[in-house]
Amino acid sequence: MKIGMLLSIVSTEQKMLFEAAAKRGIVFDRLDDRRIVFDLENHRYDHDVILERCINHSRALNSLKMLNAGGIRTVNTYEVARVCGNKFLTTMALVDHGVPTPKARVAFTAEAALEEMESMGYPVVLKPPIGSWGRLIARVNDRHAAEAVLEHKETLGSYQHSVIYMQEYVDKPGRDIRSFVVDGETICAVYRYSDHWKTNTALGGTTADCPVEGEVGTLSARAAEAVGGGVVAVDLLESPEGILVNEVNYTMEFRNSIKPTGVDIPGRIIDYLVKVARS
Amino acid sequence: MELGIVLSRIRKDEKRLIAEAGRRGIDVKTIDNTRLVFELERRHMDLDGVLERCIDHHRAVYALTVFDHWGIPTVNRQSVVETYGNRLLTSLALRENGVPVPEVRVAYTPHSALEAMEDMGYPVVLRPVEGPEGQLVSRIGDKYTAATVLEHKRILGAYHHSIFFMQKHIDMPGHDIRAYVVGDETVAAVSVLTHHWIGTITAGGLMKPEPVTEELNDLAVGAVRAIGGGIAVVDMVRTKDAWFVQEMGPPSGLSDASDATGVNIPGKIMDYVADMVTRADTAVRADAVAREGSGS
Repeated sequence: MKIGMLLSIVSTEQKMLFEAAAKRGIVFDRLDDRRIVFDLENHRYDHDVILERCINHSRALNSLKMLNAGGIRTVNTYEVARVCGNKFLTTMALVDHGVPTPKARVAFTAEAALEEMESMGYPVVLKPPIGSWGRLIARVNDRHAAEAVLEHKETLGSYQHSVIYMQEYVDKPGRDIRSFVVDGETICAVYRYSDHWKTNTALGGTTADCPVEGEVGTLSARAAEAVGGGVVAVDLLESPEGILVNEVNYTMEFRNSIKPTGVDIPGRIIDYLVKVARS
Repeated sequence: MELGIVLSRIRKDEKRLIAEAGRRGIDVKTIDNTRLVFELERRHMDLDGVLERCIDHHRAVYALTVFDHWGIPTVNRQSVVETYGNRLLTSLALRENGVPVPEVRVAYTPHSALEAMEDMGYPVVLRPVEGPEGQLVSRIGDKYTAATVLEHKRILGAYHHSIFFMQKHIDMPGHDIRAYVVGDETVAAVSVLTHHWIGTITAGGLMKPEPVTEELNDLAVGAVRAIGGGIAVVDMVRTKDAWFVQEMGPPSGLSDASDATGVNIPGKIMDYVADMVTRADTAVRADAVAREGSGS
């Protein structure tokens, strides 16, 4: 069995995955995205499956497209990466599958976006459709803030920022939930606590186990199915009206979620990889 | 029939398209994308079909995605626009369907890109994966030029310039050919005469009518089918012994190409759009009747 890992750097997650694989007698063939050259004429890859662990979304997306076009199975697939990597596409997929998610709007100019935010009512959350680790996600509290942020986007942003994605602000109880779904099953979840309104662990914050029985588990599995399955992490918000799916991540970090949950997340990922490789 | 035309500005081409729609009794509702706001959880526009005429590729793709989710038929379809707006997706789709395209390599860092170019042999054409035709297309003749251009991209470029799309240079005999494909037919073709190696109109090329031979038609229609069908411009080059599809794009420059060839391209497009909307409507009605039937 030949299993590859497409990666940028060997981070803690990658080391954990290598160890989990070694326990199962598997050695990853490492494909460094800084060195890789895809030759569209000659597919040089003969792996049974490749796990994508790039830092950069565009490298991940383009590589998955070329690998899948060459008949190589990947975790996740190009389609999953395409949908999860774009918050607008994620919302559309969740809405299509009837998964509750915060209300979202899309506009293409600062004027149209400003008018819309005025009618939605503040606070509004502005997010670049493509981006991770909470970067450039802005909570806009009033018209002045809206004008300032939109002007910065228009003047400084590349053309990717010409699409303005606005989301209703969900008043959550000082925490959110991150769950892990592998092959259709919600294997564990954590509460993420933070004093900051962005509860991303990359921005600091603490975690605690969150039981997956009931709504958290069911909603997470439905969200994963909506984006196309595979191995994903689902961000959930506890709103006064019930749990909402905020985002779905396709190349997730998990180092801070193993201890509180007691679930061997890297081990479960490797088991799934083996299953895909054998299918 | 009410047809929405989502656009950025009403240019010469859009005026002609709207006039052709009027001649066919189609009600046109122009949708200015600078004022547009989509609510993602509910359908809030009622249209029989949408024709996309945005200038900005991303606006086009996002708008078409929403219309698609709402079940409104669009020209082109979202996946087609997403494909021809991205040179890698185009190249993969064409290759998969046996359409001849130049050799391509993809890398993500200046270092790996340089190695790939050395291996391919110069000249190599370096293109942004996305962006308007002709923009930032560089012909790299040697290692020094390669290193310089790659450094500029790395230091000055935005995010999407860090995908290095390298194409084997094809020596063309002074012109390339643009074919206007509408559905299953190449309705017109022009050759673009240029002294610059980038054979585009934006680079100062001159348009001349080009006869639509069977060979040209087959290649152009095959290319459009490969990306999912619809209406598109196919840029082709003819060398001494072979044809290649260089790239594809939205149906632009309609007025100039119509004037050069005497073919009413906007009229042909409107026939196609009207036909597509009618067919989609019939399918929806048939589906509704079938569901009603099975429910009773």
